[in-house]
Amino acid sequence: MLARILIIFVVLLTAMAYTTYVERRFLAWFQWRMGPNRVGWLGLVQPIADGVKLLFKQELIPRMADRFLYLLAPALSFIAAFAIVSVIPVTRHFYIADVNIALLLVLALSALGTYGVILAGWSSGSKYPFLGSLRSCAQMISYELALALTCIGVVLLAGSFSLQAITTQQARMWYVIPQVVGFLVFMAAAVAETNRSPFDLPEAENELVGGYHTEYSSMKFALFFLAEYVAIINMSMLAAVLFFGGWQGPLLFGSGLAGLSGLFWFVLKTFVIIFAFIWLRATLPRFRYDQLMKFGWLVLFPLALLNVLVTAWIKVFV
Amino acid sequence: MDVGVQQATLKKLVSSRLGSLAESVDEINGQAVAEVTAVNLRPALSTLKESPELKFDYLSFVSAVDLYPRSPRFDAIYNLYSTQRHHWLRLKVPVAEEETLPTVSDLYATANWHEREVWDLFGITFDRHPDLRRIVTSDHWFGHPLRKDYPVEGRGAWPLGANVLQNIAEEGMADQADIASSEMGPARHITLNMGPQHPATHGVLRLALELDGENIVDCIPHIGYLHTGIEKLSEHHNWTQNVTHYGRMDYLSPMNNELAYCLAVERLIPDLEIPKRAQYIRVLMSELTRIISHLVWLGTHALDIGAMSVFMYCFAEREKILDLYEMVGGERMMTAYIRIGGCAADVPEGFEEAVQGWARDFQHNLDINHNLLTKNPIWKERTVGIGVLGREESINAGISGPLARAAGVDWDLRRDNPYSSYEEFDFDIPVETAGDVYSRYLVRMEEMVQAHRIVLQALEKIRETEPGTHVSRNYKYVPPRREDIDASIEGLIHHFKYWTEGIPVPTGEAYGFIEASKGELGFYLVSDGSARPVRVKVRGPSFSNLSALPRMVQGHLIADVVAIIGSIDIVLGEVDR
Repeated sequence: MLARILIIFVVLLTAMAYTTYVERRFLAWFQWRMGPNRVGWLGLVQPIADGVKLLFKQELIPRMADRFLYLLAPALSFIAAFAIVSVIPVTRHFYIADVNIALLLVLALSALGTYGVILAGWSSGSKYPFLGSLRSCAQMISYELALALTCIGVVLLAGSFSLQAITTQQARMWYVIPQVVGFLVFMAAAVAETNRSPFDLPEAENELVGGYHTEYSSMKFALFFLAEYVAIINMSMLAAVLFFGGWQGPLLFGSGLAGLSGLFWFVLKTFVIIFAFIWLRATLPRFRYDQLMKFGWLVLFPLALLNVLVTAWIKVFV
Repeated sequence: MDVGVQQATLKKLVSSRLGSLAESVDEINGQAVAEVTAVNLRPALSTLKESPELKFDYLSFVSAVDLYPRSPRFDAIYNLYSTQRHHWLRLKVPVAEEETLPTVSDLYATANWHEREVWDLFGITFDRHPDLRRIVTSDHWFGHPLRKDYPVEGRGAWPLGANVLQNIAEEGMADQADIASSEMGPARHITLNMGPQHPATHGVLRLALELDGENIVDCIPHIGYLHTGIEKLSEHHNWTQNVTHYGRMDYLSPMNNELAYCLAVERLIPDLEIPKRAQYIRVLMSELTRIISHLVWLGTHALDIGAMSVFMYCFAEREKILDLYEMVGGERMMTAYIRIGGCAADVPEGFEEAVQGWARDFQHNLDINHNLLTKNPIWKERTVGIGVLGREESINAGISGPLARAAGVDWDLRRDNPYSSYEEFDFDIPVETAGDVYSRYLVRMEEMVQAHRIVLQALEKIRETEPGTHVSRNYKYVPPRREDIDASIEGLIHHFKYWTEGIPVPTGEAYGFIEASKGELGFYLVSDGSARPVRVKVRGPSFSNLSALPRMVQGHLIADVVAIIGSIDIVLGEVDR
């Protein structure tokens, strides 16, 4: 067990570092430029250089800050983000825990991560972070609900909260087909949940300078940064598990590609969804705070609710 | 109608309308100038504004000239324009050192900032001005820098002792307390200081925002962080050298600045004829300049709203035009290419092909941005109905250029008061009526297309003119060509006089203006016949446009403030000068 935790931890850290690299490269290609290509072969050592740089940056704590909460906040974000991985089934046999309330745990932990953001903004004792954390509160309330409701649709179909059970249930058909509305709402909510463009309001650089992490430097900033990218990976893995059959290969090639391991399919699916995150960032402008709330409450929430009702009706009567 | 006849009728009309309010009405260098006394200033301005034939509804700038040792010492200048009749009038008000002037900021909202600037730089007090504080220099400055007895090198070290810093800090606190206690009490509102170091203020602009949640209750802009005293410096360099200052003002459209200055100087010199080729090159370059300026605006504006790819696409496109800049001027930004009498050099070989090469792909590259933004629902939600300024309001606020056209003011100096042979070109002027951020966006996008059209026409016209006629041959004002120096004693004498004494610009005054990428850019020059100007007043569009910001952001959210600042398209180098 300990070995598995260690492997997942190290792999996830590396994956997170390379997600930043991949993002920068892809963004660069979207934008007719080169991206990081100087450090190491094709710039592959860049994330490590960034990490080392952040480690050696000067630590600053604002005079007006609430020291305890100020230090707690990044840790909270980071721990919550990493803990989610413990229940995600990477392959049929490789996972840390298969608990029967896995999905609830994921939702709870990702909500807990938002506390990190809120506390960071509140404890910094500065106005820009404060506004950023206010936005984050508003965003959390508007989106968590829709996110949870789309998960309910999947749970209704699978009849279980266990992610491993949900995966195996999709042997014949991926849930993205019956749950297409749920999937779209899930993705929108997931982007908002991870504070990514076009919902990156809590850290909107052009309005709030850096948002909730304006006053953070060095490794504490890096922890927020890590948490954000781990959250992207988590949400992508979760989407792959809930809607695309997790580690199972596509039905079409079911037997023909049996040789390819579940790990391959799982990583591929996760990566495609991460790519979608990056693509969105390169394309869309940012919502305004009130527009985002309106979108969450008046579009996503009713859609998700309707999706649950229809799914339940089908489950019971068809 | 012929311009000369037009001026004569205007002069007659103004003197009949003003009657005894005016001391005199003259025509100086083809521009109408009326002299009034301080007492008659307000009645005269009201008359000019209300009179249906004159309709001087737009105050371009308020400034002053220090004519020391004349008595009265100062001339206050009010430059008026009619956005309907398209004519200009300058009011001159002699003011003695101890005298004050009545404020006109209730007649023309734009006068507020302009009068503050006059007070700051000349020390002329305006009675009943709502907010007469220093504007471009620090609150702790002493003296009035544009007075002739203020040395150009300053008055010794800036006394930044501990007390001054302490004072500044205390005043900042007091400011905050003032705002906080003004309406709903300190518990309800927060004061947010945006800038001067902020990613979305487009330079060193500082906004003191009073917020209720994220709603803007009040906004006080502070400028002057980039004040470089260009106007003061200009009085200490000769006419030719001065060209180099102005590229550093609006550094995103350098050739516009040079062109406006050169047109003003050329207006002062009646016997200086500008060859057609030079005029066409100027048109070509100023339209390219409009495009690069608009590209930077589009890129940064989109980035402020979160569309980051557009930023890169715009800068990639701008780079191509900067290459063209480099071909003609040898520099990417501070070109000093447009000179008094013409241009510094003829367009180089291969330039035409280079421009055509760029022009071929331009429309396609612009469409990429259109596809990303114009119909994008998020973009529209962020821009439609934001920062609305109505037609009358924007004229009254001294707003010009794309901002005014987005509010329904159908006015473009290139068409209405053509300069540099713009009357020979065929182009449309986009006008929108909503006056919000989105219509400003649409106007500028279309302006780029039209500028592209003009560039191609100018290229045609340049081809038809004789190479080498890029500058006047009047060697009194233009450096002689090498072969003329070698061949004739006159050439040698001109050469010597030009480089040792500078050019003898005749005594007088003139206002030269262009439709720059950001609006009406003008230079008001006063000459006493020497090699250096007595006064150079730069009327920068950004300054007046920015002054309307508080009205635009009223009741919006913080996120809208950055969208609105982006849509005004300011360059702080020009605001602060």
